[in-house]
Amino acid sequence: MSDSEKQEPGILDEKVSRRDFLKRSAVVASGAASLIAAMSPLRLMENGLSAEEFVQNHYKELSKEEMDKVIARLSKKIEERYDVDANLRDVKPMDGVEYVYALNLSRCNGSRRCVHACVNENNQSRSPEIQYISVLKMPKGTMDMEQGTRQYEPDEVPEDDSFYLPVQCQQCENPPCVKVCPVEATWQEKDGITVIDYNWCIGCRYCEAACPYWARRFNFAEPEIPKDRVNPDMGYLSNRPRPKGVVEKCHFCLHRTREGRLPACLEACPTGARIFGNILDPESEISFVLKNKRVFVLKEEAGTLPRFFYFFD
Amino acid sequence: MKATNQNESKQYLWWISFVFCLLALSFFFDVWGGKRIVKNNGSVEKKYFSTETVRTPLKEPKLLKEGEWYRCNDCHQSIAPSDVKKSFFSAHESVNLEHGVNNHCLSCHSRDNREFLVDSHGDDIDFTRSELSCIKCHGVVYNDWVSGAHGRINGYWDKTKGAAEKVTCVACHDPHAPQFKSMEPSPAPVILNYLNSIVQKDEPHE
Repeated sequence: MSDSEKQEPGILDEKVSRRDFLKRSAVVASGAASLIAAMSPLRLMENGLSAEEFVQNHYKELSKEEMDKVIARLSKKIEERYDVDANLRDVKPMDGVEYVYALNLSRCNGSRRCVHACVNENNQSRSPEIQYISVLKMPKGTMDMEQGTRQYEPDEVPEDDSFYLPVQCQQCENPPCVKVCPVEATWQEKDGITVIDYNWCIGCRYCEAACPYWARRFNFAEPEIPKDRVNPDMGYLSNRPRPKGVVEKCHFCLHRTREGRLPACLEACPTGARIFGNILDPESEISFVLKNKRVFVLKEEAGTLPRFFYFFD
Repeated sequence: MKATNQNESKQYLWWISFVFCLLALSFFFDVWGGKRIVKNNGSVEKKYFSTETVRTPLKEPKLLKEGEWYRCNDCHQSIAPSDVKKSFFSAHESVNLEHGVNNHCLSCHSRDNREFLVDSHGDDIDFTRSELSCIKCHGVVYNDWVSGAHGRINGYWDKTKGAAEKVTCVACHDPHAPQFKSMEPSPAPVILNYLNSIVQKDEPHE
């Protein structure tokens, strides 16, 4: 150490007394110690981040074999952490299908069943709480979302002089969140669902800021899900447990809907206000609604072309 | 001049080394990192996201009275029908008729056989097909229901993969008081997710 220090130019150029040498050694030693201590969180990686996970490729560039390995690795970790035998799979979009959602605001009674059905289906963090659906209580006579509130706790709903506006990811055809992602960790699939590769997301939260519907949520802390409430029916791009530091959002329950089932929020709606289906099928319920009801979208002026329609009837 | 500069820089070195040592100690004993300051919200009760319908209609035309089930015709074989509105015998005092202008029992129930309802042609229909009685006035809503724009559907949107389970009018609407009942809302979102005091350690994760 002292040899190299003597050859350095500048402040260490001159002859060093014994006292100075000790002083400088103390500085260098404490600096090194603090550097090592600062790196100590890396010790957590023994359990948290494996080498395979660190070098894992982008979702679109994973081959079938690589994906199988990734799924096996994730399944093992899920089993270790939550004691569930997860049916984790990579569900691909169906051909000739484009999903559209419609919501009847005349029927919605603000019961928030959809919110909690979604939390339960999609393994969202309970502490801190993450919810994809915001049910806004709105004063009658306006569609200005700024006047709505999520915080209403009456004994019974619906309340007089209010209507309820549930807002979730609108699965836009022109999604601003996808445009701003610096690492292409979020993209639109051919069935219209905008998805996130949670292993590729860097957590910059640009997408969260870009979304005009406040649909994206960020995992500020390690998500916590009670073991008895973990839903073992998991999709890679949808409801597998997310790590801390990534963004998530509604994905129309793609692990259900891409296998023909209806989304969880729709099944839990007590009033039947929600209608979901394939818009490319002219016989579907959603086609009937779009043909026969006066539907509108939120923040049309933003030019996002949502696939989520609202109507009164 | 040069000497004083040297002394000043040495002073700084002492301070920097002191700060580094403190940092080293704090990191080593993990004073800041890895603590979970999140409030534990617990689980929401399952009734708050149940997929059950709000009512469970009876499959058969029968009445529970003092702990025993009676069929309609146990009484109505001998009791003649009444056209007087809201004139209930003690057996029907639990019926709260709030169906707008429709306040006659026989608008929906069959005059001849009380174990049946009547459809728009005046024919008797089974209780399980009660929507054919509702259609007499609620044709527009019935069309919406048939097309899937009104009412609950569970199961599959893709009919080639599985069945869509549709429920009838009476699964949500009480035929005697059809307005959809007010209900208790599920818990509101938690705003204060973080605590001032430290609760538990952050666990490693996937």
